[in-house]
Amino acid sequence: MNNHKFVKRLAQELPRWEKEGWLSAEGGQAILADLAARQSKPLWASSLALAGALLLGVGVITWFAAHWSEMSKLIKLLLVVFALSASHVAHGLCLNRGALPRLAQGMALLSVLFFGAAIMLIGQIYHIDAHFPDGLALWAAGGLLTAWLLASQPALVLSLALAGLWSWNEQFGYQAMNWPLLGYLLLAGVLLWRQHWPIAARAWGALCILWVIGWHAQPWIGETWSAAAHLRLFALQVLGLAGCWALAQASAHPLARAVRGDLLLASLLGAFLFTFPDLALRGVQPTGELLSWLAALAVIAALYAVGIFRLVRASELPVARLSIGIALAVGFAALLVLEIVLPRNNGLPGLLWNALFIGLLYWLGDLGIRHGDRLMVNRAFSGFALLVLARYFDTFWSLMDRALFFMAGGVLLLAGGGWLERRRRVLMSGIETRRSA
Amino acid sequence: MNLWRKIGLLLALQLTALAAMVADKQWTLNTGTPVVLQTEPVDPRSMFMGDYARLNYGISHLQLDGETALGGDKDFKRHDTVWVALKPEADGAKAVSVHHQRSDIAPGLLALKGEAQSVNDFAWDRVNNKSLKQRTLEVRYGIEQYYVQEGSGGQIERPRGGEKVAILAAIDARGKAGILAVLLDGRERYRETLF
Repeated sequence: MNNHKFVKRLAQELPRWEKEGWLSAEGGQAILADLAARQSKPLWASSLALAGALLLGVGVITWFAAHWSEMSKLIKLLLVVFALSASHVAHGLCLNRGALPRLAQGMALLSVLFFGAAIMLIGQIYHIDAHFPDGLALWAAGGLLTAWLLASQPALVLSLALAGLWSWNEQFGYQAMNWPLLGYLLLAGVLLWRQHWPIAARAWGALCILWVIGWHAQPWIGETWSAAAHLRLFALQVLGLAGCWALAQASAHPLARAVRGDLLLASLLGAFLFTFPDLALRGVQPTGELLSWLAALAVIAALYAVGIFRLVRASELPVARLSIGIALAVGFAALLVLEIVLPRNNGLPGLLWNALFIGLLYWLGDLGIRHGDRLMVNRAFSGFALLVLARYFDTFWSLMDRALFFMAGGVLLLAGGGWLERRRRVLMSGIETRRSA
Repeated sequence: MNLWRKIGLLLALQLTALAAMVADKQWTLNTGTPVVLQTEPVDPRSMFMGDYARLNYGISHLQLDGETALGGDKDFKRHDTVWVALKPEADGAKAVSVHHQRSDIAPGLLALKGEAQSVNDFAWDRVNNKSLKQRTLEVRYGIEQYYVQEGSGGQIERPRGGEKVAILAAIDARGKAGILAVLLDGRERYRETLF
């Protein structure tokens, strides 16, 4: 409910409350007066101002673009400096003189866009044709600086998106590890640790995951995705992500709270991929370089163990439930270690992963119900539906020519899906009832 | 720190980064060894390219096998850093050898740094209009684009009436190249200045 609706509803309710004797007539008037005094300036006013500033900016840019080739280099440079300075000063004026925080954020965002335009225009004026991702890196760094100094979440979100493009180009396009991104992530992480910006925090988590996935595009890990080295690396990454989730889950910091949902999702998605019985069965068998993998495993397993230990220590679950959780965490780690040490040569690991995945989903759903977390329950049900679908196609795909099997499988799936949805609705209404009570 | 000081600091740092881009380019142009590079016609103009000329050099395609193969390394792959040894001559610099490492370039030759764009096993023979089995390395040096006044890019890309387009480039101590001037039939058509 927006503020205006709330005040209107309150004004309708107050006479009844006064009649019931819960509130004095003076008290009711005082509440309404206080709310009227605290009414924020209408959103449309700042939105119009922002749109006006953007239109003016676009108009100015278009005019100069039309006359660009007639201008001298010096005029072009002065224009670039002026546009950049103007957006910064506009941000300051919006905050200091106009008390327009939303418009000030718009100006901070515009200044990041202008910085990118400045990089491209300088490149054009001086015929600079450098390594393309370097330009994106500089732009992202400028955005991070803007976010830091002007305390702007939109600027940081844009900067993180640019850093994502930078990393994508380096790791997937040029197939080179983007190590400098770690420095960027560290600085952005420090900023997010100090500022409580949930949207930027989630974008930061997504960028971390993108960087981790980018390892698979490197030529040294193997040209084909079926190579056993990919499977080992993937197992390490899933264990690392699960360890980070456990650490985030055990922490009450807003940054940890913002990223843990996505970390859990990424870990579960990783576990889901391991449930496929044919995963990497046709892959190239690894040669004898196990020692380096074991060294990496020792470091990541330590991170995972610390995360699980902190989670167990902070847990308020009954002992029986907690024991199930610990058993699942140990089983999860054990299966990942198995994937690294003993490359797959039959379908047994896939079978064990399926059993563990069902256990994980059950535990997650149970935890969601206990905490009244609808999102967690929904994710557990979605995961279960996904698993059933995947196994359905695994089983019946090879029996396509036998129509009866296919039809029977379809009927089974429909019935199972209906039952699953009914259970989900019952559980959801239970959560709602408990919440209302 | 108050807001205006933060804004001042932000502006100063951003302008320093932009100035560094210009200074890096000017350093190449001011300290680099000038060499003439002959250009070759490019493919038809792309509608997305806008107002800049695409430059294609003789040293953009390096032969790795056959009678006219260059010396040096042969095992390149896409995005590898490439060091090309250039010998400056009156009618334009010629590539002598190509290497992975700069230290492999013989003394007395100019070292130019580039990036491998592709390695092709077949090349197009323009004279006989047919495909030849020849291993060629396509290299990008960062001097393949030149922004010009609207409508004049075609004159550089596709010269008419037998005009010859060459580039006067500067190659600095780091092996980076920058365009000093565009030459039409040996005469300067465009000259780079700081302002």
